[in-house]
Amino acid sequence: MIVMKALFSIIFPVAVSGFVLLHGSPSGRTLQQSGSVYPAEIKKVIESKCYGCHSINGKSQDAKDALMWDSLPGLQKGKIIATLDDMIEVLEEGTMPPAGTLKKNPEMKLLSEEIKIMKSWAKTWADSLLK
Amino acid sequence: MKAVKVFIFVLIVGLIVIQFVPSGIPGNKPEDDKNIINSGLLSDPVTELIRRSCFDCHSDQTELPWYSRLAPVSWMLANHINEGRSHLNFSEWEGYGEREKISKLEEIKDEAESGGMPLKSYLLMHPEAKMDPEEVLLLVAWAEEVSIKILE
Repeated sequence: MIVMKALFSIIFPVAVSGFVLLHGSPSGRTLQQSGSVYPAEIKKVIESKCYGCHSINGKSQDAKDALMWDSLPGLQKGKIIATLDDMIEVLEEGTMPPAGTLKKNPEMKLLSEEIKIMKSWAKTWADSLLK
Repeated sequence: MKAVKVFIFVLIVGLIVIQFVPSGIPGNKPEDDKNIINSGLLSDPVTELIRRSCFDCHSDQTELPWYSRLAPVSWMLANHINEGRSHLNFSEWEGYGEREKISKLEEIKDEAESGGMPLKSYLLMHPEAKMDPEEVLLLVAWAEEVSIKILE
């Protein structure tokens, strides 16, 4: 009886907290500091469809050269606008995520609703910087 | 020996036949108000530089060399000119929106600094188009200046 009590009142909570503390957020799959700049619905799309390549853990140097979500907000104005312009272009052309990636991970395909909100958000941000 | 003769014969016939395939080289248009040259944004040195190093692919005023009529070289030229104009056309500059201009200026800087532009294959036939380090700096500084002006 006492063993059971101990188990539930002490060991179990400790084990759970330990698990939570050690596990935290899935390593490298969530936006870092910059994440607070992006609206929640945009963050969701970024993290599920883009962050894998366009972050420090990405495997493609080309992808990282083109866009790093974590450093984007800190770039020079002109560079941000240029990146957003490219982003709008690939969203309109449907070329991101790349076909090769989608073959292996079809669940990463951008939904039309996601494309719409990403485009609108990118345009709004670029326009605000152009004022 | 016969095989070689047949091969050469087929090659020559092939080369003649492909001359009748349209090259796809786009036409030129006269300079007008939309051309960046007429925008007042360029100093004389920069005007001279972009005419020399960029205009053949990135404008509607391409100077076509004699070999532009010879297939299959003409196909490569057509590809360069069409791709070049679609990515950046200085003759259409004033028609670009502000966001597009900023984006293209950033790309001009990146390509000039990395040496990706002018294309190596273009430089083979047009060595005078190569930008020396000072010219790269001039172009980049100009692009930066125009970008700042737009963002003000």
